[in-house]
Amino acid sequence: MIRFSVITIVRNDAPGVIRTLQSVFAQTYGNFEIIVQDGASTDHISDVLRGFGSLIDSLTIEPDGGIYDAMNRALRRATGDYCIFMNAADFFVDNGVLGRVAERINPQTDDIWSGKALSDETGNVHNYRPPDQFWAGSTFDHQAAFIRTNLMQALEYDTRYKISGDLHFFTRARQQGARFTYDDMVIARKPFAVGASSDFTDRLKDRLDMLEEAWGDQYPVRDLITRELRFNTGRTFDLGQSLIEHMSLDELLAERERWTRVL
Amino acid sequence: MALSDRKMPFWDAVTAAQEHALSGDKDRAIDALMAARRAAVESGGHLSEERTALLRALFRTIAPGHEDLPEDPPSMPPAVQRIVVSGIGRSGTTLIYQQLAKLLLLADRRVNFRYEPYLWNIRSPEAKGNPFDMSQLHHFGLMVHTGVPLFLEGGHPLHDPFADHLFDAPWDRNPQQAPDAHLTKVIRGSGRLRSYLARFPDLRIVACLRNPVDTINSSLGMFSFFGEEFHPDDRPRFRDELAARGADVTRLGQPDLSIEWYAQWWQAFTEETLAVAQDYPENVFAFCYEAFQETPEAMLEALMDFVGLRNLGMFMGLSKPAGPTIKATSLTQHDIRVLAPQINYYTDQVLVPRLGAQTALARTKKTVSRYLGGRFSFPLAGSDLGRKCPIQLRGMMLNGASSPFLSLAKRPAHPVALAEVIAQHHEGDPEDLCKPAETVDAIKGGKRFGAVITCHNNQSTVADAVLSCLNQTLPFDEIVVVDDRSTDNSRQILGELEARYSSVRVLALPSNLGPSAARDLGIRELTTDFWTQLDGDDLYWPSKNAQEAAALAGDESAVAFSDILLVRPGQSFVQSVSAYNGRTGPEAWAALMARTPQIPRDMTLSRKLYFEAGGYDMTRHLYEDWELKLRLAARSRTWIRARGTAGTVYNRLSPGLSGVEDGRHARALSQTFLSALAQANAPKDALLPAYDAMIGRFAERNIAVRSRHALETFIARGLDLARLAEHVSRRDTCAMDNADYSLALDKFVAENLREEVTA
Repeated sequence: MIRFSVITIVRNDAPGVIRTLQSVFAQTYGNFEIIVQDGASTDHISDVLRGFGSLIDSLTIEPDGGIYDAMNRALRRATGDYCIFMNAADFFVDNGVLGRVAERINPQTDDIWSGKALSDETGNVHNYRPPDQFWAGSTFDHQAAFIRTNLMQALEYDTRYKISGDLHFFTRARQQGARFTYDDMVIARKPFAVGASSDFTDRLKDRLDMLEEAWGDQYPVRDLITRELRFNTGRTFDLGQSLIEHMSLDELLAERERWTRVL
Repeated sequence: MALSDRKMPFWDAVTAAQEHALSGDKDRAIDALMAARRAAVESGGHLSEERTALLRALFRTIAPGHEDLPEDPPSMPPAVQRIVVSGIGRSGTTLIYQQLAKLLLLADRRVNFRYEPYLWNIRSPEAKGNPFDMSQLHHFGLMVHTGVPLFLEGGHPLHDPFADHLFDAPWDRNPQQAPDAHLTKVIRGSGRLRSYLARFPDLRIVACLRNPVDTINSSLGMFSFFGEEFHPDDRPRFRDELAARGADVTRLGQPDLSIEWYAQWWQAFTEETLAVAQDYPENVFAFCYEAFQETPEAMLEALMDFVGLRNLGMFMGLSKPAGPTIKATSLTQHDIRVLAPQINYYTDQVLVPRLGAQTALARTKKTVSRYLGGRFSFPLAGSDLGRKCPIQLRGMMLNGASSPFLSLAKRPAHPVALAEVIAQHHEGDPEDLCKPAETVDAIKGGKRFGAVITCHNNQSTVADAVLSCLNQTLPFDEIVVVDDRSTDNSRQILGELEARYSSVRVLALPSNLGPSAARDLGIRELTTDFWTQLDGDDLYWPSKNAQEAAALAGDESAVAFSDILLVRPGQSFVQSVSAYNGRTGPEAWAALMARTPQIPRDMTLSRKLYFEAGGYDMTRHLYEDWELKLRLAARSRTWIRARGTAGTVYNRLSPGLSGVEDGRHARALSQTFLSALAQANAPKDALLPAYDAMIGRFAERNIAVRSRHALETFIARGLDLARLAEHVSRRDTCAMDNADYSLALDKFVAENLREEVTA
């Protein structure tokens, strides 16, 4: 019987973590542990978490060096066969999810098994690239990914990253020969709160740098992402494709920022 | 071609002339005007009507005596009638404007109409129906308004051309056809009437007057006296000009929307209007709105004599109330108090001379009491003292669009008519019941009291729930409203209340967490010593907080509660909870376990006791209140029933949990009962009867039967009840469905029996 480690990281989001834990506690599949890492929140959340008492298997409240450091700290305490990161405000779509995943995962062959996540705001399935485009990122979400715990513990997250640590981990795992399985099963919902436009640019550049370094020699990383951004920018801001056809990635990002400021 | 390359010698010279005039250099201004005239002649020898009129106006302003223009103006009819309707706003000006416009048109005269030209560019006899949006703004009018003092007696280089443009301009329509009359309505011009009169000695002014309460209340929902909607506000210069005129402006502190500013504005311009009316009795007709309401026919006769237009149509049009009436009051009781000097001034100076002392005083009393007792009269307690009053663009009002304020003000009535319920159940005068508590400090005993209201799609009731907390005879120190991710209009309504009341805070949850988590987060948000709770569809009895605070006398280990006023379709009655009065914590716990008799609800207790008891169980969505009360009882010292007719007015007009299937009821009840066994020592023989009473009509459900069997076995064999409680509280047990849960329970009992045998 597969044992899961559900890991929840929280900082200053009481309603979010309550939503997450309500969905975790309600899982009818009994063989899992829930590990909560609270980055010394300044709101009520630490008290709320203590109030859950024995419902939480492992609770640590301590300052950390950012989200990936917090995730690493929690990860080191995991004892299950597979772990999944359900951070504050993410939640399972229903109380049978862990049970269904346990039936689907094959511990002999699956190092990383991923279903799909829905947007909490719209209820739509998040857009994924096909698995054979793993080198362009966005092939799955951590809210839907079950990772063999000892693999994860061996690699950990690279705490230099602010945003792309997740993708960086999956990339390293793949380069080291980890076996991936993709499934259509819907696992969780996650909020896709849209950040500021500068945030969008930073995220994209962060991802791109990381992916180019990892796969740039073998795959047309920059080219694909530029084409996608061109399409997306044209659609979002209602710009004629002829207008932006010859723009480079940096020019597209600048154009995007310009229009974001205008709108 | 770039703008600077275009050859516009005429307009450049005109601009230069105005600039020189504004900077005080009269000689160069005249030179520039001469240049303009030359340019106009040189441009082809033809000087258009517009240019002629503009030059004439400018010469008259800047250099009287230089009007020798090449052509004489077209012959003007000798008796040009110039009428201005002036007021502060919300005083009937629009109505009079429209009626006079009708009379002028009926007299078959060609008329220039100007509607609020300091603001709008509307040139029509119909004010309503025009689009009041930004495209209609009169940019020159706005520039004049902001560039000209609010109080103006003589000529002014910017204002005079503007006034000419209103009352002497032939170019509105066909320039060959001079109008027979001009009708203009101005607001924000009450301080400049002397300037108009200096320029046009034949001007007729209808000066509208209305009492400060109605005027200000009506404007608060519509627009600001100070023009914040349209331009950098008028406040600083208004204060400076008042001070320069020797007025006391010490009350005008922060430039917020406080009522003091509105009061000063109203008074300053009402005083000025009355003074002008006295100085120019031939030119000014003071149209007192209240006098018009008292004796409409006499007022209209006088008005028609004044403007020299007589027509019976006037009577029909003016028989309606003025303007779009807002059936709500924006004014708080505090505001009414602040306005007292203005109310008295208006009564003495305007109403008494016109209506006689008796009628005047009666009218004022009626006006004020209408606000104090109005349906939407904001209570004083916890209010922000009038500092935040929303302004809507008047276009929104006139076009019938909605806004948060309007949706709050015009919300449907609460299904429970609180006033009727009070009248029915309160013995004595309802007014006495609602009087503010007098010995506040003694009742509170140095402690602070808070309320947590939870709301989930309660848009039609939550505003009244909040107001019932604000209307307490002993005000709550804090009110936290937790919106549990409503998808209806609740959040907008709550935002509006939060903006108005400094004691109200809204905690808007990003996702729906259920009542237990919502209440818990609300209680944590409070900083008070004591708290109580209210559902978004219920109401509080006016003295609820006062009576329960008094019962507690500051005891943080006690629980205070009141009887419950239950409102069902077609009936309402008081449910007594006296069975809990004076019980110790363990006694209350034992009574609660049996869920009979009637359990108190929405009790007042300390936050300390709440946290010691462990707070709401956020994983529960059914019977979470009962479960918490059990733990509270086990930890509390004493339960006290407060003296008062009721605490909560419990709205059961629509059935509550009837949508939940029986199996879930049976599960929640039986599991909660078993999990509570570890909390207190109850006599063993009382447990089974308590269980039977508690489970009630769900006793036949399998899960209820299995639970009873487990309990019976544990009691009969003398097994440890705490272990049973621990078993049903485990995370995995809680997550099981009913079938698995029952099986696991049987298995657990069997295991314990085996262990007993082994032992």
